[in-house]
Amino acid sequence: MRRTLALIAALALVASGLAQTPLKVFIGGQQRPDVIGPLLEQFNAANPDVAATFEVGGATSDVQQQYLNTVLTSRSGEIDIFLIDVVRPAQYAASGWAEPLNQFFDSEAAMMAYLDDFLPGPIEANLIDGTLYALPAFTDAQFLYYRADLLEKYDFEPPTTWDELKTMALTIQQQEGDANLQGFNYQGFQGEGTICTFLEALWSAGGNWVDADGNVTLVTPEAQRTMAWYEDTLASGITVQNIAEMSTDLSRQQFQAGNVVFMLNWGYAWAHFQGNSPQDTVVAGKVGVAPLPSFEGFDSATCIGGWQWAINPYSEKKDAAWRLLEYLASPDSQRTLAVEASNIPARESLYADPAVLAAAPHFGDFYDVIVNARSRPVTPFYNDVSQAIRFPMNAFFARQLSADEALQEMQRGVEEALDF
Amino acid sequence: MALTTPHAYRRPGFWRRLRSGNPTEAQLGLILLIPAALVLALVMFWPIAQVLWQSLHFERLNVPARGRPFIGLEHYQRMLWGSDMTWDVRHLLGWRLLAFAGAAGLWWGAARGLARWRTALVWTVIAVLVAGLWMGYHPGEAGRWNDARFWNAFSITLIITVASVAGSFLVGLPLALLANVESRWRWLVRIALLIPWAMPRVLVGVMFAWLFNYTNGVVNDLLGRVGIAGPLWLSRAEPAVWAANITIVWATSAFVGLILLAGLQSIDESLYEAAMVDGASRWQRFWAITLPLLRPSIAVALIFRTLTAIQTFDIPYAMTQGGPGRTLETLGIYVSNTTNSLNLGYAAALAVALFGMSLAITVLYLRWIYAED
Repeated sequence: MRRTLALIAALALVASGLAQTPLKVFIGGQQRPDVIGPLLEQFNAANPDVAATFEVGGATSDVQQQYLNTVLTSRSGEIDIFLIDVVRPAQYAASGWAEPLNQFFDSEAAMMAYLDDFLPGPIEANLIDGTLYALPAFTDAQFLYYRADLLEKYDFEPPTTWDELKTMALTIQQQEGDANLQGFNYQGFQGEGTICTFLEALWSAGGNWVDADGNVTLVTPEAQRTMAWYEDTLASGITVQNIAEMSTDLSRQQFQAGNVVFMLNWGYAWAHFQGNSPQDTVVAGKVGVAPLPSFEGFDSATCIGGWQWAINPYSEKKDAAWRLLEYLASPDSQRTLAVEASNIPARESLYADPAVLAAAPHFGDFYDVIVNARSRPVTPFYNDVSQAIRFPMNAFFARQLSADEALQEMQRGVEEALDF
Repeated sequence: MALTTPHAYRRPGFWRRLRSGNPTEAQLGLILLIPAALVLALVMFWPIAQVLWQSLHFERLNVPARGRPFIGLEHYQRMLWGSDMTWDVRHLLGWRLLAFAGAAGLWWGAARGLARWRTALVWTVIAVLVAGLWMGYHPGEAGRWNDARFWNAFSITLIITVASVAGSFLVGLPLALLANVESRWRWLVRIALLIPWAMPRVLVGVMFAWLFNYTNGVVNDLLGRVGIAGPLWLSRAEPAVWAANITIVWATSAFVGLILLAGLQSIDESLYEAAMVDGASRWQRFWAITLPLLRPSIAVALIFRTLTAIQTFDIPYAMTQGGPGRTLETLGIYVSNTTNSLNLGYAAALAVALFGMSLAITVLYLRWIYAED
């Protein structure tokens, strides 16, 4: 009798285990598994019918994407929820690789009301022709980092135009007399950062890569002004000559070593400068953050970054996945990510949140930059467009192409990429 | 009774013999080959056939609405009708000459192995076509139906192949000779020979990218100490090709050295003793004994080295991601970039081109090796 009871108990246990819906979340090594893990455990505790676990793969946007390419090409439902870079939703929408989320709301109005608390930039990337494909996990943008101590020493305010930046950089370089001190550092390497380097200056000259009718506009006076500015950074000596090999993290390391006055970089650099970094920092407490400068008479602009939660359309547990998605995009989860991982919140309300501001006071300074961040080309062919811009741009920095040749090459390449 | 009747003996058929449990040696060999052949077919020939088939189809995962239509040779047309780019690696004159010298050497070696004039003619026509296209035959303007990038990738792949195979041979051979010398320090040389070989290539790439860094790199620091202004290694096209080749040679000479060392050790010592008795000098012994007897090992080392060189991906990718511009975008990197853009059909066609290049070179080598046997 006792054995039968034990058997029944064991069976019940197994049955309850089976009744639990297992959910698999995919994130990259750069997205702080140590913070995501406890978040999922909290969710599991509050939802006994679901058992969410996560899988980590790759530590850069490209590598994570390569893994997801394989999973989604083979139509595998192995993973239920994944994180994608802000440049990807358009491609996911075109390929049918992200489950449309409209179905989980009672009405369109209910959806728009739900989205109201999110910042407009990330929503713009995820809402394609009225269909919502993902929810923002956190956002990011490029900022102008500057050495507050040096600016103070020479009685400068953070520059608002590129010309001011150049004058200040030159003055500081000359007065300091340090041959290793770079005036202005940005990304010119063969990679994603270089797209932003180009677009940010282009936007701040009043231009864009495409006009209102969808024509590619890369051989324009605005684009020429952009290229002339970058040529000037090299000619005037405020930028190092090997800018063609300057990757995002290399920039960050040079600034952190105290070799740079002004730098364009993403939000993650801040935590490194304050000492949360594998490398030593000599700039802790000496760093300021400002919106990017612009050309006289135009608005400042920056590239939007950040990551989005999406549901795998091949998953067979979409309802449970949606509950988890809602939880991960909630203010509570974003607060945890902001406090513990320094991820910049994608929800407006958190910029006034005492817990967030206590842990990351600089987010207050970030806000003005973040709300004005603009999207890189939103297209299913983003990878092609990105290559069509970054290759000529990198060749321009390597003096293989003149400014005009580089622009013509970009124009041709982007037109070709979109010609489908 | 039938078996004992002494009429004309007929060899039992294949299956009958097999069933009798007494197969001939040839049959046994065939049977034992079946599992290996099946595995090979499954993991090699089937995927190759699939890639070939895929390369004849339009397949872009970001244009699912277009489906996967059959488009014949369109991808190959686009690839071969490539026009010139102003920033093409082929404009680096020094490297162009070097690649041509290397290609000429390869051709000379191969031509000696070609016994029949008709085969030689076919190969010559192919070579002239390739060279003609390579040197900038521009049938059309750059655009959707032609791909300048392919010829750039093809060229840098060829440049890296010729330069780094020659380089790793010229460095690997002395290393092997050194490791073969009886001395107290032999273990040291042998360990030094193993380390670069055992290191992951990506790590080597990242490491050398730091060494070649313009501002913080060791290379320019050393050059500066002897009064030479170091170039912008990874930020200019020509030095980047040098830097990549130096790195590849560093990483791969050890492999060549190890294979040659094995070959050296199999050379009979008595040959040298006899030569010494005859009064042969060091150089004479090297040219008349070591080099000829080392030929099979050299061939093996060169084949493996060439094949890995054609598929070069890791080191240039780790150093500059294929930059500056497209200078170091080898065929391997181009295939990867195209796959990441989800254009699987065209990526398959590029992979077939890469495969074709490896196959052509292997055939040339094999003919060269067997030519004088």
